[in-house]
Amino acid sequence: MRPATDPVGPALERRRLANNGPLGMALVVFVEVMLFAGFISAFAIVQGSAMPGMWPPPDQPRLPIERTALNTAALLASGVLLFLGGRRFRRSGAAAAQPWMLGALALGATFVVGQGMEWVALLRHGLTLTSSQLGSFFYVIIGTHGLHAVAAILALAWAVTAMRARRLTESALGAVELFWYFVVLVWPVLYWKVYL
Amino acid sequence: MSRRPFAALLACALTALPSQALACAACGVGNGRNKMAFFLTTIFLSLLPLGLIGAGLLWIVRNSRAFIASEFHESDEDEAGDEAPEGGPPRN
Repeated sequence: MRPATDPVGPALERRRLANNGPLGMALVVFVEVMLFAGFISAFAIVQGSAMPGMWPPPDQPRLPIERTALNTAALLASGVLLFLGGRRFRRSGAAAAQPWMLGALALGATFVVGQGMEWVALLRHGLTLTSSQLGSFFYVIIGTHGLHAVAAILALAWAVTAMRARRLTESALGAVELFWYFVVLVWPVLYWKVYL
Repeated sequence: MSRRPFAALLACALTALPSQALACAACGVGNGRNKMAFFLTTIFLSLLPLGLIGAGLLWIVRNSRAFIASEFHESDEDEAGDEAPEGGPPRN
């Protein structure tokens, strides 16, 4: 006989093929991938239409390849730390994952601050949104990625805060992770096409 | 000429026509690098969404197989437990 407090037996656990959080974020990332693909395609066409030897425009400052390479390394390392942190969160819990997540957050912030400093220097040297096609594309493409990076940092900061309060779910972390990986993985493509 | 070969010939001609028509003024002018950029980005932007959708479907198919297999495995275990002889360990 079933106990009075449990009239229908144990509740059936509802299993899902995929969690809602990562699934929704995958759809967002799909759209974002197409956005950046459009940017890159337009940039490639404008670059291809330039006369030989005229790209980048001779009167415009050169983009800081070496300094941005360091920023790139910081961003890639943040992706690795987040991957390791996520794995530890699922295996060992919040306490084990926290240092890795904080490291990922710090490296992501390093990337954004480094990019900001780079922008200030380029603006001082005369590369503005209206100074040339290179400037227009640079600030639109790299700026859009920068906004995504800031959004990813805010999301990760929220995840770390929720983790400390023991409120972070696997689904929420999966969504944040997916967005962060997108920001990390799209950057080398942008660096290759725009800077190199 | 019968209709079917004529239709096939027309279809072949139509597939070759765009390269002659240069319908897009921006694609047809410019240097070779520009034309190549148009060509490659057209391919890239056409295949990328298909690739993403295909990857998503592949992921769903692969994971749903494992998901369904685990569901059936569990229900088989449940049925085996229900058919246990009297005197065996209770299920609930």
